[in-house]
Amino acid sequence: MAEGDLPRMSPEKLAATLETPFPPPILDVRGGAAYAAGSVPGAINAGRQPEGFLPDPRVRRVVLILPPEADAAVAAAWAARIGPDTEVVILDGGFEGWLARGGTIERPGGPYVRPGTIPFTIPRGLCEMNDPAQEFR
Amino acid sequence: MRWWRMPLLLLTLAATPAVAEECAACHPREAAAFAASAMATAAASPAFRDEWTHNGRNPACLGCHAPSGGAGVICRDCHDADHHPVARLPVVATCARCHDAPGEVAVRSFLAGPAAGQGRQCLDCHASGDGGHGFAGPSRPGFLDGIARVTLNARRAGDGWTLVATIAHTAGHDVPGGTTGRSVWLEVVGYDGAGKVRFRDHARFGWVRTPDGEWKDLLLRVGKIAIVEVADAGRMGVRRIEAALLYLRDAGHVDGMSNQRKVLLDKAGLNLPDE
Repeated sequence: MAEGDLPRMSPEKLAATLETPFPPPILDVRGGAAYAAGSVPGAINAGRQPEGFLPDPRVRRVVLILPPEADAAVAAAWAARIGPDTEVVILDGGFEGWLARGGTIERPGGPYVRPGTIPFTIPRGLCEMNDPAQEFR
Repeated sequence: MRWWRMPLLLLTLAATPAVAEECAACHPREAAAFAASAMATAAASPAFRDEWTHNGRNPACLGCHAPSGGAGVICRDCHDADHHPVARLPVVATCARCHDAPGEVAVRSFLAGPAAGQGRQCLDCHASGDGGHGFAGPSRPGFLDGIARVTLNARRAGDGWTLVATIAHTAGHDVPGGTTGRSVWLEVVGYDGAGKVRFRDHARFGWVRTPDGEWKDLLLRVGKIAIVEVADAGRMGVRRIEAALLYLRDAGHVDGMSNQRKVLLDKAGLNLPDE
């Protein structure tokens, strides 16, 4: 992979970074289909086109997951879009490198509900549960 | 409450200080700090009394809210006061007696998360006050400061924009911990070019019970980044998106929650281009 002069991060380093408080955002730019099949935990689908992405202006460091065919020009276009005040780091080896290292993957879908979209009850308190708790002795 | 039960309750509540004074004579700092904690009045708070009464005054609830009777937890509920000097507590296991309870996964998620593997334990965050017996939680002002961070990004989707928000937190367990009624809300508001609100969108993290009776712990996972997408975020002429992450200490909708019962964890904004 040729991503120009942008710094790189190994999959091992990224795995360690994910264990730190507030790791940098991970932008998966391989496209929606690839993202939907699974990505690095916490990565967002940033789309495939740099001009179709709006970055958070507060962020000062991001990790890019490029598609395997991406060249230096693609990497540079993303870095330009994200802005000169933000450090852009390339995941070395891309998503394939992450998999080869044995990295875990996540698929889209968060643990939340959108009020107004499905009916649900907000419980009043834990005594309503009545399920057995795990026992510690 | 029936009128004839009131004297019995008052008598029970009044018994608590006498028990605590046994320890306070030699451990005044710890006793004073604990007396000011929510645990010391866990069975006397209006929220608990309302819910307990609503649920038929189930005595099992008192197993955690007042194990020895009285207004709440007392020293010997955690410490073995029959063998003095008391042995040092296994902290996590002791907390788990009640904080790994039906509807609360604080200890379980802590044990499954990175904090436990790093050798941290409950008191690293929750100990406060003299002698570390204040047991701070979300009700303590400033306790949640800096605990969570939101980012806002957007990507093209057809002719519009899809907002992509991420939420990360540094708590040692799933958030919210505590009882099932608490929740965290991401409130996304879209403003048009004149600053008028064009839409509000919400994502709620917390326990829910679906119409078929199933309970789901839809919490902010420990050590994980949550992602919330809002489709067509530029609709109705929206040019600016603002998002607020709010912690609600009571059950209910964010719109109806008083400012005293919700805490702003973080906020972020993103401008959409004029087109």
